[in-house]
Amino acid sequence: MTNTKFDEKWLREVVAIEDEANCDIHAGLELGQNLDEYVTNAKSYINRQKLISILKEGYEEILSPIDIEKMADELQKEAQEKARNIIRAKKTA
Amino acid sequence: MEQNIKLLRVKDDKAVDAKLITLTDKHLDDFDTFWKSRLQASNEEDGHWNWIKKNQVTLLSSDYEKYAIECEQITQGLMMLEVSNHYSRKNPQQKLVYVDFLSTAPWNRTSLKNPPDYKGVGSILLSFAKQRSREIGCEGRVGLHALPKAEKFYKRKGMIYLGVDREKEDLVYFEWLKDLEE
Repeated sequence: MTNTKFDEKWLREVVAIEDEANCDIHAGLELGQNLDEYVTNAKSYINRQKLISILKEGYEEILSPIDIEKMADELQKEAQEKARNIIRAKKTA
Repeated sequence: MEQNIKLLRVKDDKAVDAKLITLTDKHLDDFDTFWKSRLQASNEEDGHWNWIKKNQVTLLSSDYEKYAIECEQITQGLMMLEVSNHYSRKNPQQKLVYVDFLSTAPWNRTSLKNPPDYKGVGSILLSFAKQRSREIGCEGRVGLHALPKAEKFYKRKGMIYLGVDREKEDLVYFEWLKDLEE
């Protein structure tokens, strides 16, 4: 499967589809109202692998990989909780 | 990343040169200067979205890619993709590219300006999401939550309707499956 050319012929075809659908095109969750939930989503805010790499740099010689992963989980949870509390406090201020 | 594209300029029905480019501060400035007040004053479903905040929240993560469409030096559309951590709901073992956010400029929306200045912005961004999915090994799989007014478009584009998502503000979830499964 080759990539789309985005040329004029293709453009006129997709515009015809837009016209048929007769609607404006948007996608996404309503983050503005739900930022606190968003940042506390483990998948979205902190890259776990990066965190583990950083912890390894500092603790690899004294902690086992399992301990480092546990520490990453705890730090991640704590950071998310703090972020959620700060954002909620700002929203209600 | 920078890719030459064309948009349809509605006033003279001409295909004009534009570019699809990695998000920069210039695009966020355009959002702040030209988009934000118009959207906030409207009843648009994404009227309260703040792209500057969205960018800040994801700045340090490599899980996200952010793109803009520029034409005549102004930002015409914005999109944020999540390129890891999302799996197909149809085939849960397969990764996909998730469209976190996709928006067009206020003057490209028939609900705010009819006729709009340019057409094709949303289609190009969505097709580019599919292109990125192929490039990173997700074989064209793309998922998104549609804002209610845009559901018709995604159905028309051949995305699979996978129902209302009760955990995601009751938005409808759509997926493009692997290229050959479409």
